[in-house]
Amino acid sequence: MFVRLGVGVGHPVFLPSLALVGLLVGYVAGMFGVGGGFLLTPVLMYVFGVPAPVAVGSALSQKCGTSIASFLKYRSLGRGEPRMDLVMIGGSLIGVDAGTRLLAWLSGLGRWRTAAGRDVAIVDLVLDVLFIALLSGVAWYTFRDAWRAHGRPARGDRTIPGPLTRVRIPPYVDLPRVDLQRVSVPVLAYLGFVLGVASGLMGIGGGVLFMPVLLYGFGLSVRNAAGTGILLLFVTVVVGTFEQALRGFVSLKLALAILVGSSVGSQLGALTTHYLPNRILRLCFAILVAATVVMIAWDMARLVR
Amino acid sequence: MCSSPPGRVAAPVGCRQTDDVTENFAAGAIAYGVACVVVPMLWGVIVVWATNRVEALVDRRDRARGRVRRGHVPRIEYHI
Repeated sequence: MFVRLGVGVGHPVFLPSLALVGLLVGYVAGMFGVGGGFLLTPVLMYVFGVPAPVAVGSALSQKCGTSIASFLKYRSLGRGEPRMDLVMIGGSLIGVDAGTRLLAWLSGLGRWRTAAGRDVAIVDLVLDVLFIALLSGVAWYTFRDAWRAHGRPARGDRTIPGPLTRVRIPPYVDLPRVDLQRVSVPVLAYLGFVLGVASGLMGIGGGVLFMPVLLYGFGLSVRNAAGTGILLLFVTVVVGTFEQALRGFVSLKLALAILVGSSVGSQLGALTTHYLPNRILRLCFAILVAATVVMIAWDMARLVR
Repeated sequence: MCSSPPGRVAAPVGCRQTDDVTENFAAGAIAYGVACVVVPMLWGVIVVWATNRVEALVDRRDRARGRVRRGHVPRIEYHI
């Protein structure tokens, strides 16, 4: 059951253990309603010793399967504002290309010798720092949100326009399905670009960045925000995967082994939501993300020491 | 021995790289890139189809027994 993954992974990897990791990541994804890419890339790097570019590319390839499933499921619900996705796709496609090129450039920078004489890949260090910054923000924001939700009445699907809706850079677009008028197109396009860069560079779907922007930047309700980014994330992930594969950063065996496990895990995770209230789920999620930050920081300290 | 993983345009160290070889690698890289997108997507479509079938089966069974529909497992809408 040991397989050689190729694409720069020198050691054989135990295939069922990959499926098990997929199961666990899928379970978390189904339980908390997340994509799981932000967990998968660090786990592949630190637990399985997969080089950073291959971990990023393979995580994106795996997300081709999960994002089409989300897209097909959410399409029938008719939530969110597809116009927003369409305006952002242009920026996102440029961004994912930029992110992939940045990853290739970082991979080519070689290694940095620490004070202890240990050689560390520069791309690993950069991704470590980015993941720590990103996940710390997510953990803080989720924890704060869950804490404030205590005793607060649900606001339903009402949009409360946020600060990004007040930016006045023409041209503008109306988003009638989420009750927003005259939203700046350049703001949406640049947000798409940032999202694409994160996908191409870190192998995440981008939802981890996109949701706070939709919820607090634009003031969308949770239901509408969840339905809004699906098409955008799907297109970004597909283009990102193709480009990463052209550069030799994707192991299809790795992606499929994880995808098979995560398909089962996400169904089990969704069942768990029957038994835990939403606020407790969010608190658990914040703790999980904080634990991931500690794992990455510990690994980084071990590398640098 | 001079083969390279799909997607690696440059030949491995010690291998002579000709124009023909480069073209072959490029075609292989594109095919591999398409496979890396299409195969996981197919799996995703199969999973959606299978879960829809299971939900439909459960619905039919519940209706046949005259029970109130149990409903789908609520999907969490808080996506991060």
